[in-house]
Amino acid sequence: MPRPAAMEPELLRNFPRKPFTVFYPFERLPPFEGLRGRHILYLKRCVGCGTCAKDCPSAAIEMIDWPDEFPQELKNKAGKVPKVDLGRCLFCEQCVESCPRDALEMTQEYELATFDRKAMEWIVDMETE
Amino acid sequence: MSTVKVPIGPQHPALKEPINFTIEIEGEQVVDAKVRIGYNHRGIEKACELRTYVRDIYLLERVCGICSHSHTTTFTQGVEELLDEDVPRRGLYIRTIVCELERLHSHMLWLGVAGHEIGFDTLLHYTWRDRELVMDFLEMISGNRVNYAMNTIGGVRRDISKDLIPTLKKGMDTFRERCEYYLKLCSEEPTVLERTQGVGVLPTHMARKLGAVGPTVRASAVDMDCRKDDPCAAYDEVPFEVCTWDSCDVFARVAVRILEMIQSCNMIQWMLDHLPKDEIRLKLKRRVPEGEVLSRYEAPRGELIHYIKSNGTDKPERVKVRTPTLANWPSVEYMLKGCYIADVPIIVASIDPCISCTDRVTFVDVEKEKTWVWDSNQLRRYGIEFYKKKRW
Repeated sequence: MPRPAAMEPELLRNFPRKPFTVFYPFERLPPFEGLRGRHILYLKRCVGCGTCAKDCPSAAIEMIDWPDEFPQELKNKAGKVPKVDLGRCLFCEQCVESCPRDALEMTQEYELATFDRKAMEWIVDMETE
Repeated sequence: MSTVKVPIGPQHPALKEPINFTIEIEGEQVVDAKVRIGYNHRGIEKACELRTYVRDIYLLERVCGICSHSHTTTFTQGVEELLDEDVPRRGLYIRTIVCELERLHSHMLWLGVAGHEIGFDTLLHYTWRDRELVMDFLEMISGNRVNYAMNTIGGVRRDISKDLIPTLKKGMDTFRERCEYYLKLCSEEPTVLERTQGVGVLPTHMARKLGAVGPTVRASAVDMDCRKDDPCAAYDEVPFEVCTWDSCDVFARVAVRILEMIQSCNMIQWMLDHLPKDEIRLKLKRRVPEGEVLSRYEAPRGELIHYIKSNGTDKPERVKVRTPTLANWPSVEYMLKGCYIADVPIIVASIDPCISCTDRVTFVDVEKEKTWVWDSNQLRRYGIEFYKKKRW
């Protein structure tokens, strides 16, 4: 049976409540545990096998020669290290899953917007421990 | 009488998904309707042939932004069948839980969109607020709101932790209460009733004949659900009912979707109570033996079909995707005939088209041989104004 203004009680109940929307840049919700954010590479564990690059669905990972600024004493036999293009990355975590040595991990950092295209071509954050 | 057909020029894929309707009218009534699709050819099927099975999962996940999990479920279970492996029960249960959560958020989103199309924006805002609950659960389980990346060949990638189960069960109670409220609201609110009852009628025999799928066919009183007819994942163990409605109009589609949401809430709670304790995934080999498979799954919008042909390598030879929206277009053409121009937006929206919005609509007036073009916003506004005038 039609009942005019059927939603009125619900509207009145919600009237004194605070807005549901979070005003993002000023107010931040903490990310949920397990959020897939930017990568981190444990240099000691990486063997430079390139499985991550092979499995990446968007070909965002490229194996490059060991850069000079990286600690040379940790250099692996292959002399390679993954470079992640965050502009292409889907954040699917397949590279983390494919890595045989658990050298890659994903952090909870999700605010990755930038004005500079070059800034997105990370050689991933390294962790020497 | 001859009519003028105008080819519609370049469209705008950046704004809304491109599709074109040519609608012939006589006064206010639609005489004939033609749907033209194919403006958004993305070459996904060809791209699948060039990638390995593992990489294909993430590519197919991006076929659709709403039912992303449905596509990976269909694909992975097809590949598992080709490999002839049994996935652990816990993996299947978690896969099914995410499937049902996806159905909840998809139907809730549709209810809001339907409210928007009939000029009842309050409903849009309330349903989308409640939908956030499910989106948060999906993010808690999988780590992402939209592209969950939960499925993998041989099971799922993440487990549901013990601490999360009480939160999920309590959340489903809240969500079910909201669904029951919306069902009551939609059957009482005059705005909804006036715009949906007796609009876009698809009789049972026509629904069968035109091959409609999903909530569209169930709203025409056809008891057809892929989860019951050809159970995949854990659907053979989970108790649920197939929801149908017999008024065959847009209101029936609203009711069927809300009833399905209530069923999904019950299913999720049942599955969380009966979660098996074995592994979540199997490690399977990457080379798939030669063969072909047709994999079916009931996506939120209807039956989704993937055809996979393998050739013994780690790349498929052919992948074909049949989305439920494609199966529903003939029904839309049928439903549009004889309706008012004002009802076009809600009838098109009633099948929950994946090509979600009418890019542009061409009107051909049969008597005056006049042609003009409206976009979906103008058409929606026209519909709301028309019914305002009609009421007073």
